[in-house]
Amino acid sequence: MESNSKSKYRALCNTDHKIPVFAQAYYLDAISEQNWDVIEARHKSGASAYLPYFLKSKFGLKSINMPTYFPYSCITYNNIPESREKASKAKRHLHNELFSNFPKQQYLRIFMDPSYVDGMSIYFGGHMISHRYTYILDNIKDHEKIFAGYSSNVRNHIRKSEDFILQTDKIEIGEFHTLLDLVFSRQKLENPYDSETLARVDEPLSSRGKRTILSLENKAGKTIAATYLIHDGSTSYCLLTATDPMERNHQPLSRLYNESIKYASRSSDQFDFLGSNIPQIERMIRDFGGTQTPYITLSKTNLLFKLLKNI
Amino acid sequence: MKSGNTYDPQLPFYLQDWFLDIVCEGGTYEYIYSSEEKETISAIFYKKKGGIRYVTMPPLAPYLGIKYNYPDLDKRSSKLSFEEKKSKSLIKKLDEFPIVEFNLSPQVTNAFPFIKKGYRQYLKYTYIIPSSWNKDLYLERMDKKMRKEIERHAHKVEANLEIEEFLDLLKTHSTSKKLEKWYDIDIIRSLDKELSQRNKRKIYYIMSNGNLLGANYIIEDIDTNYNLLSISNPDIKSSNVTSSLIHKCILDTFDQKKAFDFEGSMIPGVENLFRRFGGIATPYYVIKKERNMFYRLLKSIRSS
Repeated sequence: MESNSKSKYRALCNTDHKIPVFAQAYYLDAISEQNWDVIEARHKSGASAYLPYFLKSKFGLKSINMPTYFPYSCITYNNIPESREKASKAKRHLHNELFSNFPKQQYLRIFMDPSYVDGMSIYFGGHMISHRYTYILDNIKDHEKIFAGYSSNVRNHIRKSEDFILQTDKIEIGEFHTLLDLVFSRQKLENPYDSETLARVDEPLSSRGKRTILSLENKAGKTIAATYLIHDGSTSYCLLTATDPMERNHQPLSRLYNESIKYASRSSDQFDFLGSNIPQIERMIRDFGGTQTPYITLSKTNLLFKLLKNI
Repeated sequence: MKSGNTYDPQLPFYLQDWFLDIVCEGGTYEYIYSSEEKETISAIFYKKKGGIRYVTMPPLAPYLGIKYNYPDLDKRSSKLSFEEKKSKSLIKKLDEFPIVEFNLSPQVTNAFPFIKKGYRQYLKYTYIIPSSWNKDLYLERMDKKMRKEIERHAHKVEANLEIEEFLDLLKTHSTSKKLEKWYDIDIIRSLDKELSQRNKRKIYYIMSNGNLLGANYIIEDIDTNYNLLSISNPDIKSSNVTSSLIHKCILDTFDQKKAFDFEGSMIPGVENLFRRFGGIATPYYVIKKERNMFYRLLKSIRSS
């Protein structure tokens, strides 16, 4: 049985199409098999706000965490007053309510979307706040300027892989996942992206025309790299990338990122690389000249978790 | 006690040797330069307790760490690469310590070089009125209720209170709020002597019927004025003392075409007051590392 807040939020998602993809009920359903809930906050002005979250229970310990395929948590506001001062007061009240009303848990970690900057409310809710970074390219319709912002390394890599053939939505989601498997098997790691969830995520995005899979083929027709893009109003997100480890010497990902940015510019003004805090990947993404953009992480750990972590 | 020294008038006060000489009592401060001295300068302060050396913040210093002097860079990625390269010598020095915790200035917006080397970061906030604002914009951004209150109960704010009078009020204020351990009167007195000689401080105050109602100690730096201490007289109840003082300090800052840094606060009541002035909530990084397992466990228990 759904909570009252969740039902209200679902109804709001059905009518407010400006709610970002990552906060849409259909997306939350897909990544968690409907196992999510939402905190609702109200202000006397009539304003309200919703923050979805994912609560899990394992060995009797409860945690709120970020599921796979969920880069950011977004707050959805409703009826915010128009005047700047009243809006600011209402939002501060709503934030204080949201961040001090999580259900009881032993571990909490949430990444807020980069537009959320009121860290103080989170701190007063009893959480630790820190930053993670993503890189965002603005004004991507100006291809020349974007290209000029690339490092010489990136430009060389793009030239090196010019012979590969670009394909749009040619490969199916299953093939994309197979390519992901190759990436992780080469590193002798388990693929954290399970194929069933990926298929569930893909279905509503694909049917709403909100995703594109770009891929590069070699002359033999073999797919060697692919990106999974989500288009959401003025921003396109690069949710996933995968490169055949046998072809990494050709650096096809640089070319593919370049093509992804160009493709995204058809519908968006902004391209968000969605990360990364992994040094090797960060280095590569940074070379595309995007703005290093922090986003707030809130976390809270109870004593038992802390002790286990620190031993 | 110090190790290495420098004097560059363009450095913020908290990285100046004359400031660190005074506040770094009971420990050592050290300057760390990148390969080319002028490009980056860092300072750290460390102490020793129970045989363990640890990097910490000296009293009265809002920030420490690194100050980049950027060359002309044509690309965004070049700036980030520059920061990564130039922070290496500081990180190498920090690696010598098992416990590290210090504040970077809000101007350092990229903590990734530290994260990459295994350091953690968390955020604190200060409020800043930028130098690009003018009085009209400031008054427009200020909480309307606060503006009216300040207008209605207008206090006459004056500058240049004698330091001993300020310290007397600070003692009364600290005792009433149980804050004695936060303020070392001798350090403040020594610091005031240096700041005063360098014409880098102003003490604003409100006097009523011969009684001191409150005072604000402002450090006037190159491009920013810092709100070092705001105190009120606990024995005399009067409305809007602190807000009137800060308001006057901000108005004077506009005349000097500088920014105003409230220096915090993460205390709910104080934050609420500072926020109402309408400044920009600005995060700054606290860089942290605890390589000592016993210390980590102790901290975990204490913070729970």
